[in-house]
Amino acid sequence: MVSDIVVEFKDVWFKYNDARGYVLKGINFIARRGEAIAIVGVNGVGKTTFIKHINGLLKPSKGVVKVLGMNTKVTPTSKIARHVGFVPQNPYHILFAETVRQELEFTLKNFGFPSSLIDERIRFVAEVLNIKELLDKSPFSLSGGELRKVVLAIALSYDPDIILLDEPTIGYDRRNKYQLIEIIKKLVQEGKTVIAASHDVDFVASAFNRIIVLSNGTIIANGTTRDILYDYKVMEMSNLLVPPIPNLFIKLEKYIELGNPYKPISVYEALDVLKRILGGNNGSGEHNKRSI
Amino acid sequence: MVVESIIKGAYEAFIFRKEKKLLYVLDPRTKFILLTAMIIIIVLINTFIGQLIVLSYILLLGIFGYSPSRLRRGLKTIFTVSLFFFIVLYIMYIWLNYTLTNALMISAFLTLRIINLLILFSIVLSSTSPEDLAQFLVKLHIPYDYAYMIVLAIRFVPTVARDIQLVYDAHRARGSIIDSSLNPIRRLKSLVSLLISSFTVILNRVDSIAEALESRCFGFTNRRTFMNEIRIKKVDVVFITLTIPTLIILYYLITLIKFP
Repeated sequence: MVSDIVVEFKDVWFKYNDARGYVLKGINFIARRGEAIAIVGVNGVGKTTFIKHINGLLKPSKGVVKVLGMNTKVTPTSKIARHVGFVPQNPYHILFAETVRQELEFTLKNFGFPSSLIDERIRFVAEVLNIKELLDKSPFSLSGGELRKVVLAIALSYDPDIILLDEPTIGYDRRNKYQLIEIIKKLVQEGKTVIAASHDVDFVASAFNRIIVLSNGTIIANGTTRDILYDYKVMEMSNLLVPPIPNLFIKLEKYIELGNPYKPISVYEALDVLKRILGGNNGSGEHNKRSI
Repeated sequence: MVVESIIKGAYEAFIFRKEKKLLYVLDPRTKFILLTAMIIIIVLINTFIGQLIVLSYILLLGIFGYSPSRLRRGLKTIFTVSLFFFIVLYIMYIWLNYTLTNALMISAFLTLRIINLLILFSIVLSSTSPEDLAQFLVKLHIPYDYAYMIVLAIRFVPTVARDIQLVYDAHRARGSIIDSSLNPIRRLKSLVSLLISSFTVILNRVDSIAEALESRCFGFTNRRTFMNEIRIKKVDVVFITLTIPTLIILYYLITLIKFP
């Protein structure tokens, strides 16, 4: 993993024009290449505001936001947008063309892609997101899940370095959610930075390696997914549901000496830990079911 | 974006928000009488100084209806819009072969008249709640459906403004160069895309409102009742007996003194 900084917040304060007071209060934050970061917190805590600072849609009232070395306060949004893909909460905010293909073409032409490359890019994203059969349909005839995929395709089509997702799992069924998790993992492997605002703890747990917890405009916790999910206090403070497996192991710890490391998130990790405790059998995988 | 700041400013100037001021307590019918009287005076007076006096009278009324922050932001927008009017009028009168000074005087006078009307409407509308407005319209024997339509339209201005802002943001984020490209044709093209998305969002919003209304039995009965029935109170009587005579006196003073 290359560790160069792509997003940097230095003591960022932000307030909307109306007299609501500061929404972000002194945020310091760094995102590196190849990280998948989830921003969690209750409604109205400033998640979307935070995300919109990264592509320069909102400029900080105080402090500095640097994206790939560009200061968002002085760089036009269109220039930052070339390197930052943004998936808004409501797909309808972005769509307008007659077909999905035209929608993708518009974006690529806007960013000055040569026409020889446009077809190739469209084919590529359609393949990755599995939307080949949607390309010639009208975006307004699609279902919610399909719409979200199309919007993600638009964001991925111009190969940005940073991808911002605003509540990406709303309206996704289990299969689509799983697909999205796979896509995020792949993007991270390619060295992209994915930053998402989400409520969906299961989704966050399986796709992201860092969690930032926002509360009342400040970052109250910033750490690896494992550490945050096992931090009962922080989860309680941010009003999030602790997923079943961490919840079980937090409670189990009171009764059994679990040893180190004992912080499983997925069912398989939990299985391994339980096996170690109960059976003492070191074999791993499916064939040891009976020892549980 | 200029349009966005104007929408926000207009929202600040015209939309009702609950406050403890005299004009908020008054019956909408009282305010309607005041509004009509003032409009008649603004239309009748045709000197610049006369309009200035009316403006100071309206601002005096504004003390009873405006909170300081609203006064600042609302008036700022009204003056910005009026400046635009002024420039257009000035160019028009010069185009109509008026001398420069004449054109200046006429357009300044007309702009002041527009400012007076705008501030007057701003004071009255921003101090009348949509429900009161609906009741007032019903009392004028306008069917409730139509009265409610007007109320809804006013109610959804800020929501739609916010929606359009979100659409604008989303389009900027995907690289539609709406405000920074130098090529006017490209800008126009991105504007078209912005408009289509905005209309889609607004129509979706309208659809969901209609569904929400129907699912809550809107139009089940023609006999509507209101939680707070409007009625003429003592304050209204006092207010009318104080304002209407002063307005008449003001009018005669302005016409008698004959300002240039």
